[in-house]
Amino acid sequence: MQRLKIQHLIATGIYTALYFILMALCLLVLRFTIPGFHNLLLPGVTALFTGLIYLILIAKVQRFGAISIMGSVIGLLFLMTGHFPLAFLPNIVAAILADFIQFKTNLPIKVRTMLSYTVFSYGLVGPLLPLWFMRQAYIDALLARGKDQKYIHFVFEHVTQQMFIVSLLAIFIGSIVGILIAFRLYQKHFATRFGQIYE
Amino acid sequence: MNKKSLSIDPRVSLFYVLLASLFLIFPFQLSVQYCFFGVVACALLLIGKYRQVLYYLLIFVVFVLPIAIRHPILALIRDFLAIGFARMLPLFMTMSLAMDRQSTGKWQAAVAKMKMPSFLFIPLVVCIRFIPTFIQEGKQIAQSLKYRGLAQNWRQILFHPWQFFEYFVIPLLSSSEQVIMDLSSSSLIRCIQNTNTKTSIYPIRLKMLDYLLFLIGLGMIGGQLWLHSLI
Repeated sequence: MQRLKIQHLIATGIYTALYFILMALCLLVLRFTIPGFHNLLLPGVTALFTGLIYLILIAKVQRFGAISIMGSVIGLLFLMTGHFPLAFLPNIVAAILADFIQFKTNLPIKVRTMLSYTVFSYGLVGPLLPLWFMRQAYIDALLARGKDQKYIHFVFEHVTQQMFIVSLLAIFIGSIVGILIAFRLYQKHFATRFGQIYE
Repeated sequence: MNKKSLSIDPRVSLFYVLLASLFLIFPFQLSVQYCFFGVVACALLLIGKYRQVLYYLLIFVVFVLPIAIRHPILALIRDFLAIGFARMLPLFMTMSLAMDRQSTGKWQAAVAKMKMPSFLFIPLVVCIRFIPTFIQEGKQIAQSLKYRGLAQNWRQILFHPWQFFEYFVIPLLSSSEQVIMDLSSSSLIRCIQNTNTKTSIYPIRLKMLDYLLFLIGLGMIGGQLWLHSLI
């Protein structure tokens, strides 16, 4: 396995920063357009818009490890910004799996990238999982932070089993559509710079 | 005039950043949180960041204190603004503590001493360092788009998201290329990837102030556990 050089680590850090900013922008827009559902649909919408960053990261660092590091750093940022302590685990697991698909399988390049990006995008469900699977602990934490019943009702109003399935489906559709648009944008703006990888 | 101010060991700053993250994750007592604000504010004053302390104090008085004062009129502010500020303020304050303007070399030396894996530490530090830079750059791109009549209001952005995305993200990605090149050249010159033992002009040794801050931090965790057992 080729080791990652310092310039690859720097590039990974920079693209992770851009990924995080785009995610924050998506959250901001969703917060004002569909309040109540913004957290639940954030992974899907983020997957729709961050495909290009993912493609450029793979094009620039064509080695196993970059995607895993990106996922781990995002997970650490989740941890640092006060998300549930285990929220970072799905990120790391999904990123390692995506890295494996991208660099250790022999599928056609477009299919491989599409599949690995979809798997990577599922890592974003980390901060949402406690809403469904650790509901009472989450409510206790909110109450202890001084939030009232009205707020808690507002948070959990849309947290249903159906919404969980919708959220997972949104990630799937968002990642597929996002990566297809990203392929086009890559060909238009970056193919001459980084190479014709996705012809 | 070159003002001489005290400095804090990067390892202690990192400890405080982690402590602030704990504050975000676990519901600490308000008294412990206020104690934390006070300690970090004092540490910032000691390293000479007076203006930042003033800003944080203003945010604290306007947004954080209303959580303690359970007045019905302030309930709205408390729900929509105060909780958010109360949660994020410790993290912002400790980030200011960690991001001392002259401390890049010191951080490098401290990381070498801590034997932290560079494959995780370098991207994390680069990411945290460049998030504010890219936000600033994003604002400039948005302004120039507005100037050219391409994204003048939120309506235009919401109805043409992909057009805005292309106009906004492509310049951002192009400018990031330059940043990567500059940083890579700088790191090559500094031989960051060289695995041999390196010396540093920054002496990485815990001083009295660092020990004191470290003990106060531990004391706050102990205090929280003690208060929790009383309830």
